[in-house]
Amino acid sequence: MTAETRASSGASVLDGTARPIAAGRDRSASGVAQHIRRVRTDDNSRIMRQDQSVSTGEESGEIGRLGVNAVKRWLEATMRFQVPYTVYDNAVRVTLPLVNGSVKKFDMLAHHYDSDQQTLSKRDIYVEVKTIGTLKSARKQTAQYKEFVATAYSATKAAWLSVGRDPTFEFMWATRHPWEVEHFLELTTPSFVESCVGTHAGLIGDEVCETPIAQLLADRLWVWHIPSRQDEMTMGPRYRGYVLQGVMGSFG
Amino acid sequence: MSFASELHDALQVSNHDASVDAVHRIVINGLRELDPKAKPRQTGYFNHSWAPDLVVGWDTEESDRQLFLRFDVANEGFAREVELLGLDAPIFLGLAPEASPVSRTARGRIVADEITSAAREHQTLVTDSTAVDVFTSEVSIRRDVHAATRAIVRGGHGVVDDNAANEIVSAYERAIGEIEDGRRKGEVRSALDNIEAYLTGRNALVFERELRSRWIGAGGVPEEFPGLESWTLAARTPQEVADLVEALFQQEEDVPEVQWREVISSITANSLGVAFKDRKAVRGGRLNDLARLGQEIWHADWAFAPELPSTPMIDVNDWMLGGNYGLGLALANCEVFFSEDGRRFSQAKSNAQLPVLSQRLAVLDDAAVSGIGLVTPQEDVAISLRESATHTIGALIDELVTEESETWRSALIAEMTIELVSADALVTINFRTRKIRATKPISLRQAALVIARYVAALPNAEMKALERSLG
Repeated sequence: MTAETRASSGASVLDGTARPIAAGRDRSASGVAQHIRRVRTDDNSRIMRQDQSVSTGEESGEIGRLGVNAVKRWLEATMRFQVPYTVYDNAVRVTLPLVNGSVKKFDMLAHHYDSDQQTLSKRDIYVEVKTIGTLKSARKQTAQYKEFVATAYSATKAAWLSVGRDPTFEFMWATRHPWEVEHFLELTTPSFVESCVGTHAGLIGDEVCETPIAQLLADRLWVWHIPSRQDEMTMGPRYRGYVLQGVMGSFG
Repeated sequence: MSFASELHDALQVSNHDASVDAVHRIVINGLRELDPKAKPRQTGYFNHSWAPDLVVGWDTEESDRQLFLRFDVANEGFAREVELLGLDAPIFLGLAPEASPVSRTARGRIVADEITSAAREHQTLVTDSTAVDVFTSEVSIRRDVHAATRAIVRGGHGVVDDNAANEIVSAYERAIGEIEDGRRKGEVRSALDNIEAYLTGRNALVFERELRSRWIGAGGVPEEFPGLESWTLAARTPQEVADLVEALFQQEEDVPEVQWREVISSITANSLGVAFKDRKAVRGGRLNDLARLGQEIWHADWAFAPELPSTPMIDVNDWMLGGNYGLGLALANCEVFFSEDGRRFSQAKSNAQLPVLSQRLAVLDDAAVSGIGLVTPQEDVAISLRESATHTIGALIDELVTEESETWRSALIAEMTIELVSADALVTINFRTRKIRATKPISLRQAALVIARYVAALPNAEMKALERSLG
């Protein structure tokens, strides 16, 4: 994760003085606006970076792909998520601009369904997958997760500034290994979000961390510890077949 | 614009929902190009791990086929995906083959082999947009390639990429060339093998049915077609016999009588009618040849005789096949369809007027008329002659009518019963529904003549013309 561009500070997105992200001096100069396109849909505003030249290294390596695809499969087996895009399929769709002018390419974009499992809940969830096999790697999550939360904050604020309203993005940390067990329950609190932003100030440029946004974001963080035997906890093909029959009966 | 380019553009649409809608629409259109009778339905999902994007159905197929869209279908984990979803022999369609990381490396070839093996084992078709491009481009040049593309959509398995698609269309071209010109069995078989490597066993047989019809249509002997199965007409399904009949109707050479007799002995008129339901309708011509030979052998115990809105000047006494009611015969003022199952006509409606009694007195003098149901302004009257009766219904009615009773003159005939001594059967005609039922199956010829006389009330000259036509 890098935070190359420092941006000028802006008004609060919560007090109604939000303005387009490109309006600031440095942003305009750095051409951030050219990277961002506003996409208004019926249910939400989604922002995608059109520049596909950014490489995070996530695309490379089939092991990473297998890990991401496995998480996609498990999420979708709940029938509460649809993961139309992964970084391996369509990097543009999983990329969000940050308020500092840089971008973050997540592993997946998931759409969440309401409990009726047919109606989208209007939540776009950007997912980071951690396929971890060693304790040493697991421990790195302490720093990685903080950066992830600060990035989530930065992406949320950038989108808010761009479209002038709450983008309602959510963010999921899907990991195969626990970490910070003594502070686990604090990982999704507003104060934790604020502390993450504080320690990664470069990700928000000249913006300040706004407590109301931190509070909103805290409620929109998902931490999913995926057990090693997740496959055995997932509905088998026979029962999925029944579910599909039911779903298809509703439109067939 | 090619299928792959259209998909590429659709995937670039920034709005997710609009992009997915466009992708699904393009895939549906592409499917219909390859198989015009396919009926794809959207599920509301896109690139979902478990839920297909589309479910493809057909009126004539017992089961649907699920279609999953994937960005690429050649990555390391894809063989496992085929195994996980292969229970229902689905189709995987790769949207962006350029996204495939499998290269021409040794590892890439191993991965490709694993996917092919899983796809074959699970009767799953793994294909991509470039393969669809090959097929759609070929179909746009020669429509008959549908026989191959349809077979792939319905029962293709294995990996059909653009190379395989090219192999399939060129093999098809070779097969048809040989069928129509060279008729070298070894060459045909070799071309069929190339195509059938991508078809499940059952679908290979279905595919061969079509090509056998082409073979016969080109003057080939059915038994000599180099198919997977030996050809015995009696062992064929009604659809296969119908394929043959259709080919015989279309072939340029005359059809020997022995060929028609073989058909007649291998299928009932009822089954032939059902098998022709969704085929191109046929009237007269070689169908007359077939029906004339079959009219004494084929039987029916139900008939439906809808009245024609006007009297046709041509094609009277021609046989008809195709449509909902099966095999039929066109009379001067009505059509007659025959069936072994009354349910065939359960939805049939008739607005025909009931015949007026005074206009049908002549036929009531027939000894065969053993009962009649009449409707007058005041009453419904049913008359049945006892076996010991010495007069006809006509004589009885004549006495009533000669009494100058206006009521009886204007009475309408709602029902009539005809006794066919030679067939030991009673035929009941319901003039309200125009449906006719026999107590036991009677030959189509006999049924046609009964209906012509008692339902259509053809005058003698037209009855004689019908008899001449039936032969």
